[in-house]
Amino acid sequence: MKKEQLGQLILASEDTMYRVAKTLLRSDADCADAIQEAIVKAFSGLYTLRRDSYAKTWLVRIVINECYTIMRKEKRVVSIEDYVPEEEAESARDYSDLYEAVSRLPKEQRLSVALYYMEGYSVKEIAELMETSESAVKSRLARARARLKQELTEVTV
Amino acid sequence: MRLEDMKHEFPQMPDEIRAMVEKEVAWLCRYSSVK
Repeated sequence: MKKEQLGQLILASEDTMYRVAKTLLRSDADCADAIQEAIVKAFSGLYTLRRDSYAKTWLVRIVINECYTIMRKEKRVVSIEDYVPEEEAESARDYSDLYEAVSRLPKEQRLSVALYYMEGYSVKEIAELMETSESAVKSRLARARARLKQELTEVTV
Repeated sequence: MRLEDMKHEFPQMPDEIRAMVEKEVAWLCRYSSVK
């Protein structure tokens, strides 16, 4: 893949990159940092991409890694439900009930839910992205659905 | 509400981040040493 093609892929995937980051990080400033760093790393690590057909998954994996790096740096690895927003503007934002409910899930569950339901990845692809087994992904999805159903009684799962 | 519809329920990418992405990509396409 040439760098111009990578640029096109990033522009075509920017909404996915943001949703994945926003699933793991609450603050838009952190999302912007994660996405920016992921873009730089994608360009500098383009030689590591073995198959062009795997490019988007590879890019999303880089975004996830950058989010985890930020979470570790800011000691937020303790899931978002324990996270108190630092920015008043962020806490004042009017998010949907569904986003708030997903945000309260443990990070592995909310990332699985986002990748499966929003981004359309298969269980197998999510297992590869999250470096875990397919059964672990299925289990996370099932637990997430049960919890969301409990919180949002109108959700059809 | 169905979970399949959650894309529409999620926050949309702010314009500032979108602009940053476009600027970063343009810069790297032009100046990065990657071929």
